[in-house]
Amino acid sequence: MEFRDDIYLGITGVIVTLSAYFALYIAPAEVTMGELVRIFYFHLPPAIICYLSLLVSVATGLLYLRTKDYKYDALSESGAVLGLVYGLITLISGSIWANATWGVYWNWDPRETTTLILWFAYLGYFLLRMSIENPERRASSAAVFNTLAFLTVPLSYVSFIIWPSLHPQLGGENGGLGLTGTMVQALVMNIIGGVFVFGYVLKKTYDLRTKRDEYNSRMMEEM
Amino acid sequence: MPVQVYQVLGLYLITTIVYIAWVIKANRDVDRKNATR
Repeated sequence: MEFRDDIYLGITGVIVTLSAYFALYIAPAEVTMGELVRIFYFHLPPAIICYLSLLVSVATGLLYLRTKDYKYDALSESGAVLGLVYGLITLISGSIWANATWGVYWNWDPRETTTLILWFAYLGYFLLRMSIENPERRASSAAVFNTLAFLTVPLSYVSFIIWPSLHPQLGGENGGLGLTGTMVQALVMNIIGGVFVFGYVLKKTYDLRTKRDEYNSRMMEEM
Repeated sequence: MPVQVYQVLGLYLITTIVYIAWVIKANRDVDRKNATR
């Protein structure tokens, strides 16, 4: 069966709209954070999209090193693009949350700091790609760099376990978020919406990269 | 409802919509270029 982008996008739009409505108006306020807990429902999906994108990026980068097939390099770069975009959304939305709950936009909390390091590591990935003209060298160097840069992803994820942090934890006891019932449903719905968004933007970004490669190789042949 | 909730929702949704619009347009443009060559 043929994949229909427009139908998939329509379904994604419906899921994201319904889950946003549910999180805003159906889920109750949390005991300690009150209404501000709703920020979490919209902060987590971009963070998950960022992590998933970078996971795809590193996995396909390694597949490129193994097979030397450029389609894996294209997918790896597409994942890194989305990691950068959604990493930035995560950082900004996290600082909005920080200001609302801690009174400052940025306080070098381990989660904030390691996510910022992650973002700069992948900015470095693109600077590296831009600095190498030879396609094979560019793809290989980027894949190796990606493997090292990806170490910042688990570091960011477990940072609040390794170092003392104010970042809320799901079900945590000390300052954690005690989400129950409808709140968990709101969170799960928004995560599902985020995963649908991830699927769409990754496919379209990959399509764009492969079509541009096709166009550039035709131009080279004609020269 | 605190304004920060809407700020975070808006940031996520607007960036996603703008990115999707851009990537669809860029795909169409490159399709057109590939078709005319």
